[in-house]
Amino acid sequence: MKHSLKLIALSAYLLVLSACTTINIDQVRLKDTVELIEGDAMVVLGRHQTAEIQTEGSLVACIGGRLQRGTQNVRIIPEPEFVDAFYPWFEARTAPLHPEKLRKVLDNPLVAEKIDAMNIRYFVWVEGSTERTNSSGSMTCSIGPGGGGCFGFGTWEDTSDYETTIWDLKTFDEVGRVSTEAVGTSYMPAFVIPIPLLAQVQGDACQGMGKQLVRFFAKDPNALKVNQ
Amino acid sequence: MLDRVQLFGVSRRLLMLMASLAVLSGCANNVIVKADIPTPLVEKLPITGTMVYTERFKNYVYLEAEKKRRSLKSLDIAAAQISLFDRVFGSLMTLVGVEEPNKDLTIEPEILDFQYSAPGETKLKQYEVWIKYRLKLSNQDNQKLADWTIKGYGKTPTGLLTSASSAFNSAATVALRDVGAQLSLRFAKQRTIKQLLAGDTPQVISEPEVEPEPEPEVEPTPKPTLDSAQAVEPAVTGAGESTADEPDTVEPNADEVNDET
Repeated sequence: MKHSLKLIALSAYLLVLSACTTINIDQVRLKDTVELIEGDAMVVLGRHQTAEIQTEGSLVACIGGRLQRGTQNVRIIPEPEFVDAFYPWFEARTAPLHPEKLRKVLDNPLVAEKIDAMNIRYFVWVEGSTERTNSSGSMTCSIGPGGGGCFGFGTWEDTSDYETTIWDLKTFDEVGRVSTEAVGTSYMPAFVIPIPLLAQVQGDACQGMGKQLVRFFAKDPNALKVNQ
Repeated sequence: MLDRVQLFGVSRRLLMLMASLAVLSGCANNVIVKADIPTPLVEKLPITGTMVYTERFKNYVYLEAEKKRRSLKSLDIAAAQISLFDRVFGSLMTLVGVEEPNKDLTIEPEILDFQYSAPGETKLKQYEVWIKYRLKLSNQDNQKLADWTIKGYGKTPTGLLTSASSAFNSAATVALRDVGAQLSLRFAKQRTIKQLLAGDTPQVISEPEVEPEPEPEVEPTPKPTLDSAQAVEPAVTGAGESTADEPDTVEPNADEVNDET
């Protein structure tokens, strides 16, 4: 009995080790220097323009949080606050898809005035999603008056594919891109009680992109201090 | 006696478990939409108008007519849509009372169609809501100036521990925001409004010339997700991206706000 318990514990430990995520991050820098001065603000926005393109709000908020923690004296405006403040210009179907279109939006004096008042210098657009790409295994659960339990084994793979595009509002051009692909496999063995061994694919993608974005802005000598 | 209590205890737990599972499943039953649409950041035009809401509009509740079990039994959108139109048109022009004699416009919205889909009914893991409105514009002599049709589309992804009611509320809110966004950005580009802004008397439409909209059909089946997606695809270029010199009758985003004159 002791032997079996040890074996189960060992198997679970091995599975915890294997529930991990592989991440690839690419960065394209389109400008040598990225100017960002104290008091500037940035906004991180998700793309939602079609039924298929549905960037998760939780990921956008997570990247914004990472940028806020990784920088000093720069305000990261949360997406819901920005979208409400500038309604109806940045809704799912009205948001500009190119920097040139953003320039047209800013031709509206009310919008331009508000952007100035909020000191917004950069837009960080996030596009992509996390999808289930593979799954296998089976599990049976039953419940009765004497109790219940599950038996079996399930495994699935999630893939995150995101691209962030950074626009400079001073020059109305794209200054950089950070793309991330993360793949993780989760496991769920069940021997009476299911034990989920989850790969935090989206969370890891956010962490990777957040770090890279902090580095992106910190490369400039006048820019941010990185708290890492 | 003890056995009975224990048995009852087990049953109660089971019932609670089943109730929790039911909450987490895709059944929303009766939903009352609570949408707080922000005030549009747009310039107020020198136009006065009034909003007229019919009793049908003021009490509109979508009732699921299909016999087979669907995710929703009813969705009450009445208060949310009135709040939307009041806020949007209150930002675009000066709203006055119905009895005010010297007003430029009377706007009467009407809901033509409402459709939805839930994750269990489509391949996508999201709740979708699709609403179609007709706005009848008339002058102070109650002569028709224009008929606009406008469609709003909203979706919200499924989330762990997110109830179906909350998801439908979010999707309907996004759809209403979509309607408000299109109205806000396209209002000044419509022919009737251009004529008013130019100081001209807007052209009156005689009833026979108006191409009547088809009667709203109560679709027994959900609008397929693919269709919903296609319905919004042409608008990807966005109302915010159109330029001021676009002709209002040949808009690339076709169905959004059509001046059917």
